[in-house]
Amino acid sequence: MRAIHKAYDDGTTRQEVLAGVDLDVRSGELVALLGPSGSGKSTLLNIIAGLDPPDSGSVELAGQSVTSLDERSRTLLRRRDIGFVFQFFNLVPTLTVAENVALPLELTGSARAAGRAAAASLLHRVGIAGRDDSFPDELSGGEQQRVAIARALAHRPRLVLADEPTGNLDHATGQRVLDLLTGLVREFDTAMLIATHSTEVVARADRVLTLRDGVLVDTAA
Amino acid sequence: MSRLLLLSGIRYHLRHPLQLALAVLGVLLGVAVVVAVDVAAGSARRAFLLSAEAVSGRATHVIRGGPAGVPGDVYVRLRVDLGLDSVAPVVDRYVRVETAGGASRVLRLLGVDPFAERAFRSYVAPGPGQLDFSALLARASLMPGAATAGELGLEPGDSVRATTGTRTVTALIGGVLEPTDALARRALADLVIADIATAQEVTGFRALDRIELRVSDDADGAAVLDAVRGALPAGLELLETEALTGATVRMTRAFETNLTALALVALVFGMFLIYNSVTFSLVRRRPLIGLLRAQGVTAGGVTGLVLLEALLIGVVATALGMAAGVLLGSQLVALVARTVNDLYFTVAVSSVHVSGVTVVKGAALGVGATVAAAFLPARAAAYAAPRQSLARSTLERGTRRQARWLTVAGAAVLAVAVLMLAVPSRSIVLGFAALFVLILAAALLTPALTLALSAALRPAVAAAGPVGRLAARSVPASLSRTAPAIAALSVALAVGIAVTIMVGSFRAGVETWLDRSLQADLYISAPDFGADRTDGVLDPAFLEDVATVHGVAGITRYRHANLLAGDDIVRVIGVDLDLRHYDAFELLDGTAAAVWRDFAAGGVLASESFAWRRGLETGESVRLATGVGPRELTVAGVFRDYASEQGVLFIDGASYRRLWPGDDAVTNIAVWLADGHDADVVLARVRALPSAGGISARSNRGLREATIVVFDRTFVITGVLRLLALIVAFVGVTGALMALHLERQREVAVLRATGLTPRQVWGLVGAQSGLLGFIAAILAAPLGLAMAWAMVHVINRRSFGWSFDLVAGSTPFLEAALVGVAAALLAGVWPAWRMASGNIGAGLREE
Repeated sequence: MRAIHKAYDDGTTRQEVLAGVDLDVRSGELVALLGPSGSGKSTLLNIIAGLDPPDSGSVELAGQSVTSLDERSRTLLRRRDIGFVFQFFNLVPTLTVAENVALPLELTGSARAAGRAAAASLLHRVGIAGRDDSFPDELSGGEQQRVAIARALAHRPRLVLADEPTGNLDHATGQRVLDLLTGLVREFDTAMLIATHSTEVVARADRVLTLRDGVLVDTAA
Repeated sequence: MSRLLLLSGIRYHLRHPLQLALAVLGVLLGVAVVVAVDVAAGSARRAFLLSAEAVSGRATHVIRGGPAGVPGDVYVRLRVDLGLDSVAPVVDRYVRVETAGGASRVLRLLGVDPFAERAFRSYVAPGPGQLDFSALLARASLMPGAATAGELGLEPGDSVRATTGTRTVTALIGGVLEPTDALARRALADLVIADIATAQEVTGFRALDRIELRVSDDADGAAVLDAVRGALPAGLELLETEALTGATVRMTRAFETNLTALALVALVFGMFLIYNSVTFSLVRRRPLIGLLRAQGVTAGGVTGLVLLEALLIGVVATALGMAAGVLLGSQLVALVARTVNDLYFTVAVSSVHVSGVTVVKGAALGVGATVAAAFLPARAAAYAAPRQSLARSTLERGTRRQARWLTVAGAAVLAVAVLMLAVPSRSIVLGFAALFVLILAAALLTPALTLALSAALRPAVAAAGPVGRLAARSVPASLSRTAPAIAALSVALAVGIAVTIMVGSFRAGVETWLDRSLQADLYISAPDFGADRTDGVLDPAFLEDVATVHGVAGITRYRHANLLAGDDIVRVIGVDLDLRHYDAFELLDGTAAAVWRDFAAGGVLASESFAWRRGLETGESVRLATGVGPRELTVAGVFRDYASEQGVLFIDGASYRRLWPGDDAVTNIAVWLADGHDADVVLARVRALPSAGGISARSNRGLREATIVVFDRTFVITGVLRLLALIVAFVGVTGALMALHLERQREVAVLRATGLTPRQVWGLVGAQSGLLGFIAAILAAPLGLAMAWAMVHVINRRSFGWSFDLVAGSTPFLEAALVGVAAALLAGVWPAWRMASGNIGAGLREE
């Protein structure tokens, strides 16, 4: 991404959260994104995914310009190449665990049976086997986040965007979830940009960036 | 109640203006429809009462005769022999007054004795600016009120043509009355005053319509009444004025009850809207309520807060609803007045009247309905454990668990509804109560039926791909939202189905009845100026002339007369029936041979509604005040008839003349044509007769068409109310669907982040909405049919005494399905647009 600017206007004051952000993430690279609350980490992730439009600047993913695509093409790109892990899990409450995981596959056009099989195998990998037919809110927070990881990786995206994935979990659970997430990302050779406050994440990252006053600063390698 | 708590509640609603607007709109529309019906019916009733009061003046009692009226010598006897002061003779008939300029209006001609009027009607008493006696006593002198005179462009000295029945005479405007008090001015709005001799000359009626008395309410008065009773010849009755107006007003009672019930349907939908809006606001505020509870606000405090919010909404919405209701009522009053004129009695509604009762009723219903609808969700939210109130699945699992209990309760309520319908009662209110209980049962069964139907429909919807599967899953998964929306929509559709089937069945019944009962070729009567008038008598010369018209093979003569039977007004028809007429009567009771034998022997043939009202069967007897005193007449048979809700008694011509000696007037005739003659050609010949005057003459087909026109006109107001109820329901469903979709905003944002395109969001919302509409339409079919059955066999029967067969084609059901799906789809447009085009990042952040 190049020269990304984004400001929020609450009617009386205008606050610039991103003031010319440049960022390159290589295939298979794990990048940790630090910064105080409200520094614009989530906004940055949303802009990369095409969920929030930047005020100016450009984003390119796998050779395609996210910022110049129309809404539909942007959605198709996201569907194919991006996986999301949120702080608050954000599973679809009306779908079962297995259906949540199979959803991205089905949306990309996989056959239902294939989708179900892939979902079952992934759920097995994240240690939720046997809970396929449960609904999200019948699971604990750690379990929900493991389902969310399975969903984010089900369609083998090029990039996983994780927004404080352990922020809402206790230390031990967060630790296990993090192991799982980084392990699978490495295994699938997927790039991951992970917004976090966690030192454990920093320890596992290939690169650590800090968002400060609207720009990215290389913190450690 | 903490001020801050209330403030937070008010701010919440102000931040969600759309939800607030929908809730206000629901109550507003519900209250408006109820108030409008009350205002319209009340204005018509009040107009009639005021005009009755103004016309009867200060009379406490009246002496009435049969169809031949009260002989003039009775008045003389009361004045001279009994020495009574406060008595006044009255001729009271309708005339069409036509000016030289061609303007014309039907007016009530009140023929009075000006010297007797002082005690009765102030505006006829002499005085400055009032009555010019010599002008009134001049020959053929009519005196209209100033407003009427102005409207018709009449000045004293102008000549006018006055028509009653087939008789037209020329009269003069002797003066114009300009009373100072409002009541008298209102009374004069449709009155024209004349001296009694003039009134008799204009109408050709040689007797009096009544003699009025003013008697004190004490022992002296009672003695006077006894003396009067003793002096009355057979066939005359002494009645209280109020009893007479009461009997007339009572005629419209069933009609008004039916209108009110339809209006209440609209209010029930309004309640649903409130329920939905309060539930939705509480769902959104669940974390806040949890927080408040955790900080020590009691459950009662939370309930109180929610109820207070509802009360505020209810008060504002009710106030607006009443204003809208008065406006709407002033529009509806014309429809109500027309139906009252078509079916019951003559009334001219000149002003819209809002009674205190209407205001209190509207306020109580609006505010009460709001608070009642808010009560359950408020309690549920307040008493949920704070942690529990955060989880949506708790609510849904609870709803699914409740669905089982609701089904059991629904089955029990259904049984109660069936029992209520089966009770052999005559109460209209009980009938409508049963209908509302039936609706309640359907609403209680809706969650379980929704689960079953969405399971059955899932394979078909899921075949459309992942979006279809998401849609199919969402309906049962959000049962706590979808079931009330489906219940409301299906009840609205069911009301539509039921009313359509009921009116259609009724119409089919009336058509069959017309086919059967209209057997002659031409039907002729004196012009009728109102549903309750039988003054118009056909000129004997005209009757002789008709018989000689080329093509006329025979004539049947009818004498229509309105009489008091007990507390009600009933129409008695004297006629000489022979074999060719028998087929026209569909006998509901007894064998034809016995019926016609008893009829010829002096029995009466009672219409179904008359027999129903009094619980009469063939062989029993009915008491009538006849010209020779009260008589018990045997019911020879009961026949199907939709002509009069009050009921009709046919009596053999010979018996009629025996019971009302001297009354050989003819009000209607049926003309039979010789073979090969065209009805319209002969009709033209009859109309061209010099003696025809202003007769009302129709061919068989013409009368049939005119009857159907009146029938359809009667149901215009039903159609309007049904439409209003549907609009309220539509607003309700829109609100429910919007709430449903808006609540899922975050979920849709997740789906969008996962890769759902805007078009797929449209598809998802469309499929969800369409599915809701379709399920509602399926559920509406059996409910609509059951309600139609109850309307035909219970409500109509009890309201009007009519029976007819239920005729149900597929059209009402297909219409309902179409309307249901279309309404649901329409309701999804805004949420779909918002979700498809909204900012996904914001949607994800929103909590």
